[in-house]
Amino acid sequence: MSNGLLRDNFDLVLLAILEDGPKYGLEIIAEARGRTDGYFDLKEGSLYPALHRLERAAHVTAEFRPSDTGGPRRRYYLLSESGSRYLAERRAAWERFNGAVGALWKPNRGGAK
Amino acid sequence: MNTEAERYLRRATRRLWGRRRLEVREELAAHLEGRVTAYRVAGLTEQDAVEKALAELGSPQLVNTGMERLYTLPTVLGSGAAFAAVCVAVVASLPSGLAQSVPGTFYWPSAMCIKAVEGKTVRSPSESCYFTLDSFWLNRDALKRALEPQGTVVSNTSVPGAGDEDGLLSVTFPGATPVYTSLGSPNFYMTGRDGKRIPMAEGYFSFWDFLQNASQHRELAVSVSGWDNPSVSFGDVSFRLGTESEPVTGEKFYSAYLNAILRKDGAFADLESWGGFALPSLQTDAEAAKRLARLQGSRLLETAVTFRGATKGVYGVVTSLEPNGSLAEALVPGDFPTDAFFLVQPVQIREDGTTTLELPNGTSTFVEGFSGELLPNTSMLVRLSGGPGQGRGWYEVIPPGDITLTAQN
Repeated sequence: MSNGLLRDNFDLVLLAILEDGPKYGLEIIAEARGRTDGYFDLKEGSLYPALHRLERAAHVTAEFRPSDTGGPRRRYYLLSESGSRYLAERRAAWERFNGAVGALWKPNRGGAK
Repeated sequence: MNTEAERYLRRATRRLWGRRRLEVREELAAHLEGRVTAYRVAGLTEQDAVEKALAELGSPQLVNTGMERLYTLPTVLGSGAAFAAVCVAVVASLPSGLAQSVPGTFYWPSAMCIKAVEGKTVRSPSESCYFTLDSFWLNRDALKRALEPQGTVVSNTSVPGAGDEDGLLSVTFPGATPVYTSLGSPNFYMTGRDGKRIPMAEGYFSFWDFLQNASQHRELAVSVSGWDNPSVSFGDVSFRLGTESEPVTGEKFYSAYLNAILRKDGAFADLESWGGFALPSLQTDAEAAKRLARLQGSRLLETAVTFRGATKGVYGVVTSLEPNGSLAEALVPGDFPTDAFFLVQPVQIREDGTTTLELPNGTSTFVEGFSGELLPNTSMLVRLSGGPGQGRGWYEVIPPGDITLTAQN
């Protein structure tokens, strides 16, 4: 997908992935890749600053939890109430936009006057 | 953890501070550990697995830039710290020999930190004090005008997911890969000396971040030279900071340089691993502390120290002081809210490799640190001018074996 499209919708992608429950960075990447058949291939170097930005905007909260492999603790991200509202707004806006663009793709039944 | 991974983590977190730095570091370490384990299970050697995991993470500079934009610039600039600005100029040394003058901006420390710069005590240093002590900002357009005639491309670029599109400056010197550095957040402004608001949106960036980033490029010889209005060169491209009418004085420039180094964990790590040397004048006792306390506001230590064995240039002396020790108490009355405390001071070393150090003097600053593992009353000598060499950073710690100290009372 184009960098511009991903950049503009990065927050939406991350929040949507967190809707199903708390996840840490690697899980988010795997989830994005898995659920979209590889269409969303998130770059790790961009992911963490973006997650921290969402945390700072209070759309997510974060907490460290022990690793199940005995390694360093993992930082889990949880969708906040504010994040849920923001996601719903962005999703509604996206659907409106999608619907409008979809309507433009259809043949103009009325024809040009 | 693997040395290469350690180096990556240090670079990726270097401009972050305290708890935030440790958290980001732990998060990235967990990420690397997860990826390395997966690659090991897939049959890769430890070394190959680490290399692959690091390559996936991308440039530590870009990770760091994204984090810094969140945690360093907005926090400090938005805190209402009393910034004062004075216009200076970046003077380009053009190949033709003609000097082109273009305005840049040098931000002086807040009032509280100016007290420290003047060699007086600081009662309650704060994080913003570190920031303002090393604040030295250049303007993107000024840099562009100075460097483009010398074949250097200066442009804006972006990091997907890290914020707005105008957040990153890319500078491509001839024959080198681009040097990236973050621009100040467009949402913040600083107050100039004349009270005028200067929006960061006009494209200001920290000179130190830029210098540090550039000095990690192996293909680029980066160096700073001179005292007042120092020259900076990146390969064959060079320019001077300041003009005769609006000079960048060596005292302020190199004091800020040292404070900028201390803000990065690399300097702390060097002091920890290297051990440093003990300045005779800091072998203080209770009686000496009382004497020091009486001398507050003037020169606190009257003992001079001569360094021998260093080559000519500008150096910095960084000394860690015991937080609750007699010397620190004499310098900073009251509870010191940290576990490490440093006295930093630039010093010019003469042609014969000697200098006389007066601790502290008007160029000294006192700053708090965040590491509790430092040996108290231990110093290191750091070379600032000349540069350690291509790809080897922006300062060089002089091994103690190369230094001979001669105390003078």
